[in-house]
Amino acid sequence: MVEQNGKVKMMTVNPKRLSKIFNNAELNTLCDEMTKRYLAIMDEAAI
Amino acid sequence: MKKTVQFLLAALLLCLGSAACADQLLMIRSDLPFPEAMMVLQNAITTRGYKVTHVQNVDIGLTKTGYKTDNYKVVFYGKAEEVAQLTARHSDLIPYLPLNIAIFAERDNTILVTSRPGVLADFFPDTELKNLFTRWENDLTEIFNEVQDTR
Repeated sequence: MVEQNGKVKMMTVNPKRLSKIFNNAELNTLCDEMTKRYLAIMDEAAI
Repeated sequence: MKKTVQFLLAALLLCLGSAACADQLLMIRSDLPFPEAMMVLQNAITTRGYKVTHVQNVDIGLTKTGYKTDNYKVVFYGKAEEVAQLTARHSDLIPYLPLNIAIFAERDNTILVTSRPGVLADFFPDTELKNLFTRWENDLTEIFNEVQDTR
């Protein structure tokens, strides 16, 4: 999390984006799952 | 249980901001035992102008949650002023910093692994950043070589 110019930004590496270079179907599924979890965590924190 | 371990491994790889393809990773095996390799690694990092900012005790975390593991840490490092200037202009780089190296014991040897900083150029196609990623990768290669060559 970072505050810049009075705005707070919440960012993370997108597992789904990274999974393209993993080249592993099993890992792709896990990366998709992690992206969903990350989004859920960030959504909850942003409420 | 197996799924949980796979998930933890995937999480670690992602924390490294890395890729699993062999050519996207830098990995070496050192003949040094873990404590000595850790010391040489941190020394190699600092002699190149970087500062070790944090050592994450992955092994302690895993042990606390019931897994058996040997020595297993992640070393975070960077140049504070460089990172501050960089992230002020490119805030979307923040999740990838500071740079980090996973170090773990395998019997009497120690393995070092991290993603190539050059991989970031795929995500940030900016000439200035590309040069920076290349420099980081060159420094990292030197650091790895120093650890591997130390007897």
